[in-house]
This record gives sequence, C-alpha cells and structure tokens, in this order.
Amino acid sequence: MSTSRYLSWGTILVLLLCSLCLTTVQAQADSLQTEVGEEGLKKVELTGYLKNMQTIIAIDSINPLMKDEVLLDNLIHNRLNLNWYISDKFTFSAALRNRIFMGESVKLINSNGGNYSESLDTNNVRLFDPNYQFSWRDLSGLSFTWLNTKSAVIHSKIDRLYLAYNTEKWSISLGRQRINWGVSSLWNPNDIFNAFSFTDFDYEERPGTDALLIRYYTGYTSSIEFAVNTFDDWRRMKSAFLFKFNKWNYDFQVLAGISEQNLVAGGAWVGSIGTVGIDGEFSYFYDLDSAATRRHSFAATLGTSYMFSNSLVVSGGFLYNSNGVMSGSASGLFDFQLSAKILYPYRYAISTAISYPFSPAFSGILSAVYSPNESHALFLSPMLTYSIQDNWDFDLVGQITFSKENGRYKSPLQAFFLRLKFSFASN
Amino acid sequence: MFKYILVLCCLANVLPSLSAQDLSSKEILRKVETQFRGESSKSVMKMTIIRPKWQRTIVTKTWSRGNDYYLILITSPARDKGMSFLKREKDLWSWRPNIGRTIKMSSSMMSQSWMGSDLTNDDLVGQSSIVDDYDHKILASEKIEDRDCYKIELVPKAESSIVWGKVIMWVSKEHFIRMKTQFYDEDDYLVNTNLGKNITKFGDRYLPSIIEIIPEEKKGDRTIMEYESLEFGVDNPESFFSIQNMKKVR
Repeated sequence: MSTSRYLSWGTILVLLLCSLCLTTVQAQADSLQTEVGEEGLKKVELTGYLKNMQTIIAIDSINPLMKDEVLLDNLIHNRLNLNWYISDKFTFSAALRNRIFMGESVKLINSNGGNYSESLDTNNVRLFDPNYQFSWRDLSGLSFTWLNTKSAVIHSKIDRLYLAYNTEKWSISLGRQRINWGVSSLWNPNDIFNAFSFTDFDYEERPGTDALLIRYYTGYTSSIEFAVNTFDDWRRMKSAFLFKFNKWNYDFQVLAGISEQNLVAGGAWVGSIGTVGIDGEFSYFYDLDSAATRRHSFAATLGTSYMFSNSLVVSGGFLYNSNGVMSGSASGLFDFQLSAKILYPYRYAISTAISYPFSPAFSGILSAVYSPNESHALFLSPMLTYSIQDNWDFDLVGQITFSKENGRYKSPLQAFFLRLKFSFASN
Repeated sequence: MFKYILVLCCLANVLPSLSAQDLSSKEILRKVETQFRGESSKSVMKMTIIRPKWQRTIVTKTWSRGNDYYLILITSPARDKGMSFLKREKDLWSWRPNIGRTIKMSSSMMSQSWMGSDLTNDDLVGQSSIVDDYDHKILASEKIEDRDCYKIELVPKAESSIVWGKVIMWVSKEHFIRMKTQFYDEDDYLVNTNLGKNITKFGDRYLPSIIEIIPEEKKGDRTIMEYESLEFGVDNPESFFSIQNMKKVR
C-alpha cells in the first residue's frame, strides 16, 4: 500500500472540502452581515476548522488478522461551532464534527467481519446499512454513520447542543455540553463528567455530556456549581456540587456528589511557590454496589511547571491511581476504559514535559510518562507544531510506547501523525 | 479680584516652565503612567508579529480598570478567536473556549511571550509600575522625531521582580508621550527598543497610535501594535473583571 496514494487523495479531498467550506462560510457570513446586535456584534457566529491527518502506526502484534505490521491511514476532519446570541441572557450553541476515515485500519477491520463505525460511538445511527437495526436510543447519541465500507467510513456527530441562560450571578445551561472540572494538565481526577485520555490529542474539544449545569457566582472569582447528567437508569447517574474560590493567589475547588453508583469527594488547587507553578487534584470514590470487588478508590495527581527566561518550559507530574495495575504492557494505554476513577492503566505514573518555542511560528514539546510497574511502561510523545500562516497549522506528533515483555525491553507501538489544520470564522 | 488675576498671571508664567524644566523624573513618569493607565479604558488593537520570512496578525479587545484589572479578548485570527485573559491584581487566568477550561497562570508565566510576540504578559497587563518599581533620574534633553524629550534612566528596585538591568526612556516635554524606550539586561546589553509613532489625540490625551517593539539581537524581528480605537474614562466596574465575564465577553 503506497503512502503517496493516500497523500495525494487526501490532499485533493482537503482542497475540495476547503473551497467548499470557505464558500459556505463566506456565504453565511455575508447573509449574517445584516443581523448585528449591540456595538456591531454579530448575532450568529460560526467558527471551525478543517484538518487532514496522515497516520502511520507500527504495531508489534500477535493478531493473526494483521499481515502488515504497519498501517497507513488518513483522516479528514471538519468541525463547525455555532453560537447564536439570542438575547442578552440566552445563547444557543451547537457543534458538529464530521470525519472521513480512509486507509488500512478501516480496510483491516471492515474486511474481516468487523464494523469500524461501531467502534466510533456507542449510540450510533448507521444510515444506509442493511444489517443495522434502528433504535431510538441510538438516535439520542446524535451520531451518524453515512458510509461504512472497506475503503472509507464517514461519520458525523453533534457533540455540543445546548441553551445557556446567563445573568450577572447565574449561569444555567441545558443540553449536550462539556463540563470541564479538571485543573491539572495531564490527569484530572475531578473531571467526573468528561474524563479524557491525553493520548487522544486530536480531539481537544472532547465529547459533550447531556446534562444540566447550574452555576452561581458567589464572587468575581468564586462560584458554586451543580451538575446532573441525563440517565435512564439511576446507576448511570452523575450528579455533583463544585465550589470554586480564590484565596492567597491560589485557586481552590472542592467537589462532592455521586458518579455512577459511587459516592465521590474531591478537591484541587492551582497556584505558585515563588515563580514555580504547582497544582494538585484528587478524588475519592466509594462504590455503593456491595458486590463490587473494590469499594474504595483513590486518584491523586501533583504537578509543577517552571518557565525559564528563554521561554523553555519544564513541567513534571505524578499520579497515584488505586485502580491501576502493577502489571500489564504499555499497549494497555490505548485500550482501557477511561473514567475519573481509572485515569491511567497503571497504579503509579511519573510525567515530564519540556516545551520550547524555537520561533513564534515553530515550537516543540517532548513529553514522557513512565510507570514503575512490572513492565516499566514508558510513553514518549514528541510534537512539533508549525504555524504556516494566521489560520494554517502543521503538526507532527509521535506516540511511542516501550515496555518489558518476556524479559526484553521493546517498543510494541509507534505511531506518527502528520496534521494540517485550517481554521476559519464567520467574522 | 485683582489679587486673583495676579495669581492667575503668575501661574500662567510658572506653569510652562514647570512642565519644561522643573519636574522631577518621578513626576514626569507619573504623568506618563496616568496618560496611559491609571483609569479605565477600552481599546481595539491590532498586533503584527513580524519575522524575516513570516508574519502573523492578532486582533484584541482590551478593557482595563486602573493598573490592577485587565480583560483581553482575542477576536482574530479564527484559530484563537474567543480566547481571553483576565488579570485581577496578582492573579492571571486564561480562558480557552474550545476546551471549555479556565487556566490559572503562574507568576513565572508573566515574563512569557504573549501569543509569540515580542511582548511579555507583564508588558501587556502592566504588573509593574514605572514610578514605584524603579529608581529614576533625568539624564539629558534630546530630540526624538522633532519632539523635545526628557531622557530618563530607570533602574529596577532590588525588591521588584523586573527582569531588566535598566531602562532608558525618552518622554516628550509636551504631552508626556513615551517616544522611545530602551530595555537593557543585567550585563548592560541593549535587548529591546520600543518606538512610539503616529501621535494621535485619543479623547483628551495624546498618545502614539502605533508602538513598534524591536528586539536588538534578532535582525528583522519586530512586533507592531496599532490601536484601532482607544477610549478612556469608560465605565468598567470591578464586576466586569470576573471569571464569569471572561467566558462571555464579546
């Protein structure tokens, strides 16, 4: 399978989509020109991006289905964010994510009896698929597969859809939204509504949660928040309070609630000692299910960062995660079920990152996460980002894992991503 | 009545000479500082970062209240649109709308380059005061762009966190405009030069509408800040500078 074929197809499609998007956005912007509110601000704003990403994954696998150990894939990824400022107090927001997957991973799964589109989302309406049985629950995911063949998969998802009501003291939002309660940079034990894995770097917005969020601002830098997700079974209910405040130039927060049958209590802080930035975040979970194997869980992280006068930033962190294991290889990083309760497959992890801007347009980051377990799992991620123009970015990302298996220290997975991104806005 | 006229005449005689010669360096710098800060303002600024083979433009809206409260919103380019920065006394936060997160910035980040420009966070949100954080003296009188200027030397006080070794500032005798500023490191090497250009009347005061920042060591590098609008005496209550408003300001 030649890389150049994917590259050229990818490029052509990107250019086509680019021009299509630009025309649409321009037309939208023109038609909205008349609808302006106070101070000439637009009532409706549309922003988004178009990305093309080439992936090269080399896997050391015993999977008999895999003839090649190197997989080449291409992902075209478009995002549209819509904000409609209905009035002073009401705002409607929606975001749509469209992706076209092509390449050897798609082919490998879809030609061996698998279903690539199923792996994309739990509730997913598979249009034009004769084997698919429609269900209303699937529709609630607002997630649609348009095409699912050996050569390509096209998938769309509405990952934001909410109405927000804002007054000077209150902020209430209802619908699919992101409730981001984490403060640390790598691991977030407080992020019970939207836990995410740092390996998934290509989805910085993260999925939304269908929820109600009520926030009351007790001061200019303090608030009390209450959030509850939608659920059809109380065992899936997540509901919690969060209190945030600023004191002694530190931000603090405490949280308490219930998360999928677990009582949860946690807290976090961010501040600095001298010029060194420090943060900490922890959560304790008590499983209400008496049949659970582990009834107590605890996750805590500590982080620190320092910037030198030449703009070199060095940061370090530590994670303790009681649900993590002391065994297992580094491949576990990509296939564990992530939640605030299980942030990392291993019990302990030490992280370090160095970032340096070579120029305003070009910067590099090298991160490493090491777990002192049986397999000495190590995750390395170098990243180079280049800003070609105001709205054009080019990134090169590597994800390399190492672990000790059968007495040998080796690298079971190496992945490289080349990403071109074009951002746009209606005004 | 006559007495009052006499006093007025005397004052009229005294005032120009006061502004021309008898002001102390501290008074001059105080005037410079209040010209630009000291009260509330609202501005729209275009910042262009220039490198020999590359250029980037960022458009911001800034609201300020005194020296302690700032709110900066990026309106362009599309990639960074909606990102905002809030400064309240010694605390600094940034808001990233794409990930829905408020990030508390540590004090070492104050000397970090802002959005890749030749300006630091400190330059932008003015943590330090040119009056109180430096010792200063008038060195000479010189002309910059045909304007008579005071040449003033500023040396950071030992307890301040300022990174410079010294700062030389040229302030116009008329209107107290910062025409030129040179920043030296601790080894007395020139690091940066700021030039005030295109003097414009904003409300009741005269200020450069273009500020050029030229790093000394890197040939061809420059950052140009251009005010598209600048209003003073805007009613920005303290409540405007809140975490809530940082997320919704437009």
